[in-house]
Amino acid sequence: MIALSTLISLAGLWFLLNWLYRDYRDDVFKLHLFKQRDRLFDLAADGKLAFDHPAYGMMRMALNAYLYNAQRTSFLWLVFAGFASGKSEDVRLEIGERVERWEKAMASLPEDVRSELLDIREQMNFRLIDHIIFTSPLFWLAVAPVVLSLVISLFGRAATDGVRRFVVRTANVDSIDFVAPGVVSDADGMKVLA
Amino acid sequence: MSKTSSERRAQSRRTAEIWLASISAIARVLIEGIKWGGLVWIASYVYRVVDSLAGRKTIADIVINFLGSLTVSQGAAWLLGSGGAFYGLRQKALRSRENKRHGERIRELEERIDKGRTSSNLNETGHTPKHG
Repeated sequence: MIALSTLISLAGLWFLLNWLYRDYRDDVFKLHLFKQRDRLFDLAADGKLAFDHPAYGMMRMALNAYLYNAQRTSFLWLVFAGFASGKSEDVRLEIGERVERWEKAMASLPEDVRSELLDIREQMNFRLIDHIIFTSPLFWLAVAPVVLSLVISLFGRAATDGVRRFVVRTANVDSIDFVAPGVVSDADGMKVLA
Repeated sequence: MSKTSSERRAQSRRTAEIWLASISAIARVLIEGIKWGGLVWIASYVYRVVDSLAGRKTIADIVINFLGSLTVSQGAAWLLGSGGAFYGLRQKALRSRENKRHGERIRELEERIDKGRTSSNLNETGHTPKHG
């Protein structure tokens, strides 16, 4: 019965992680994207940026694409996209062309609008990474061991030294080392019993 | 006949789009495979547990034994867990209703100012339509 109960709990956790929690994270991601889209709209509504400006169009399109495909963005997708841009000359060319189009559109804007747009884009990408980190068990499986080994190699020595010092101090080891098992004293001093 | 520069560029663009669509589809299939595969894997163990009792106990015995083996604290934990999940689902439904209400109003107001407003194509509750 313990096995059955454990398996049912495991199935429940699996469902929670892959469906309910995933849905929740998709909604959180969308909420932040909507917030950025509102900022973009306000920027144009305030007259700082034309609604038909290419930079407005590109930024809104990117936000809309992530909004529509929130549930499709994953660590695997990111890895594959990186792989495709490294492998395919056509993908590299396409990305380069779109970046160039974005930069050209941005160049015609005043400094304050440009920095506002860059901030919107940065927030969008930040939230994307946030979404990927929180929704990908694969990410954790791939990255957690690396991070853990880095943490251990960086702080492991310091941590074990700290623990050692703490034990030595609290157990008063400094003053009991001369009464270690087998150490006896006589008129000539101390010696270890053979 | 050799292709012109614009034809080559159009061809390259199509290839890039095929690459990007393919990786998106492959990633999606793998993710769905992991999700459902995990569930099937757990179900296969449940089957093995039940199968090992086959012939010795009926399903009713197993269910009664299972329920009988629950202690008060386990029962409370199950109740709390399922209550939390139920509460979460109710909150989600509430949020969907609110999204619908606010979404319609924002769309209407934005369309008044920006006639060429582009949409995310999400449905009225803020979810991606099933056919998407």
